[in-house]
Amino acid sequence: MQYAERCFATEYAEQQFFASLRPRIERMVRRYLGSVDEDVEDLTQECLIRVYNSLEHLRDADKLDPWLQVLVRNTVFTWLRERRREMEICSLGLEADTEAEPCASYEDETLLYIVLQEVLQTLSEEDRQMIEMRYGDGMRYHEIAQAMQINEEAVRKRINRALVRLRTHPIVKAILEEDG
Amino acid sequence: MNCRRARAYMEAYLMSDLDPKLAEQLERHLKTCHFCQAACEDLRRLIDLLQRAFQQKRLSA
Repeated sequence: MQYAERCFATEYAEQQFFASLRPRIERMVRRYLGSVDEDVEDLTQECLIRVYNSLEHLRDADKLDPWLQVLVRNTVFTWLRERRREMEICSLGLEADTEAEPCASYEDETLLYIVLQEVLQTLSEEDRQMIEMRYGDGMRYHEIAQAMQINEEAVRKRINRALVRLRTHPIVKAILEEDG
Repeated sequence: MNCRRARAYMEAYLMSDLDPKLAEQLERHLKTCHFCQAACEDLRRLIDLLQRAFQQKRLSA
């Protein structure tokens, strides 16, 4: 027998279950978006709908927590990807394509890049360039210094500061905590 | 080497972009300082994440 069938003998039990899930899901969403993001409530609701639609597939009650974590993570990351795509489309002056895309998994490295692009937006244009030269192109300090026309020590300090900033971003914190 | 200098050179060390003498001093410090060891591991994971992301960008370009 599946988890949902065992849990919801009555409609009241079902309501109670979803009411108890809301604060848990909201906490998970906040871990990714930060506590002040105005979209937390909408995304929490979106996650609850997804739970409602797919709970019947959960067979093992012991796996509810990890199952929930994956569902919330995928919902948030897909939303971030969509938001980024809409911003790009808007900047091109085109209308958004409303056709839904399949939900991507966290293991999808493309999604990882898109999510990190969101995080990199918190840096200045110059710092983003340096981070990409360093970790995308594998350039050494002196090569970056030459390209940016600043001294090596300034490159080292700016990269270190940018890394500290990235490390404290809620999305990066959440990814590293899960990976660890 | 103290913790402050160790943290300043950690990124260069992980990217093999540190002067060998400084790298040696940093390694000695890491053997004795658990806080810096943890910070180094944390930074290594962040760098790995960034490298994977940029590698993916290149593959999908």
